[in-house]
Amino acid sequence: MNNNFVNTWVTNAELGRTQSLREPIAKRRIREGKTFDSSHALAKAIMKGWKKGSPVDCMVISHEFELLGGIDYNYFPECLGEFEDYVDAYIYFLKESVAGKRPGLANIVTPEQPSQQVINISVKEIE
Amino acid sequence: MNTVLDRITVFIDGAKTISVKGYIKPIEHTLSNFHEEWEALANLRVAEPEKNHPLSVFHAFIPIESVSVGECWEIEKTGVTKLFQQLHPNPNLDMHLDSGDSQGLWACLRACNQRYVDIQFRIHVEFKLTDGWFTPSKFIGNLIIDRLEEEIAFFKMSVPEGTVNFDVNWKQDKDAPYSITDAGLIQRMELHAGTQEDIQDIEYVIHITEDEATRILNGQFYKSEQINWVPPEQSVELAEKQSKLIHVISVDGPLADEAC
Repeated sequence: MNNNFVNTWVTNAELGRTQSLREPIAKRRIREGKTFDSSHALAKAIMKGWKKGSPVDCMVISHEFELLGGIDYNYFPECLGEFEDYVDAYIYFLKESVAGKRPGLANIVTPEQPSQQVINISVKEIE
Repeated sequence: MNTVLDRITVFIDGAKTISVKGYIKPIEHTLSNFHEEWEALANLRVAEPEKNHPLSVFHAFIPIESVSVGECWEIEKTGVTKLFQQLHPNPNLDMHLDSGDSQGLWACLRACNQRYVDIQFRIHVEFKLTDGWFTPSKFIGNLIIDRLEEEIAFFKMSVPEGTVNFDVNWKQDKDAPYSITDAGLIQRMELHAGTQEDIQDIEYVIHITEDEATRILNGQFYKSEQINWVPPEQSVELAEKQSKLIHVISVDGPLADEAC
């Protein structure tokens, strides 16, 4: 990962995807002088890659902001095919992105699409 | 390097006591409005705003063997549980939802001189509420010990501010085999003793920065911390300079804590 990519992460809320957190984020941005928001070119590329209702999106983007691959992690790894091993599947996703095969880019939604409330079906039930 | 400070052994006098103040600011922001819909979350308040603890409670943070600056050790659970009970009666350090690397209580010797040591730490804990769980992103803090007096000069343990800094699991329907989740922002959840003024003039002979100690501690928790994550605003310039592609994760909660 370190040899082949520059790695970064951002919360969906920072990009305005979560309406209920816009106010505290705006205040913090002013307080801390944060500059990364939805107007940044990388942010726009990320938002372009969001999948409908996805709480976690993984993407590969060029430094010219071209989206090369993107998956909704809720549907990983089956969204890429059949895999027995998650690590193998993720490496496949990265390699396919680098090769220009645009894995997972068939189902892109608009930036305004909110992420869904996640239903967590826990193995251990709450007592 | 001062050889006397190469390896540090720390003692505190367990018979002494310290007054610790606790704060929980009512939650004002969640992604899906659980802080208004779920009574237990809406009413989350500190159990004991002020409490005298014997210093023996803080033995949990002290390394059993001598340590060097930058070295880590595990924090013992019993004493820490007593501290967390000042915030809420039902802390759980054994994380009921564990993705494999969720659990952990780690300390790192950040700095020392002939009189003081600064122990930086990170702890993952959750709290059992009525019909569910409240899981802060993490507790971080510092414990500064006066080695001559064998007492605590400063202590702070808090949930750091962030975009999203807690996760909740609510079993809204008691008969359902699942719980529903939300996340949000709690603006203050903290225990502390002493003030910044008490420690601001301490000059350490050997030290690492708080950022370095944070990186060392983070590495004790998640395998993903072996990846060199950079802030998004820096990633474009780096990618261009190094002729690399940008690998991005866009996520509802922070990547490297328990709020996600």
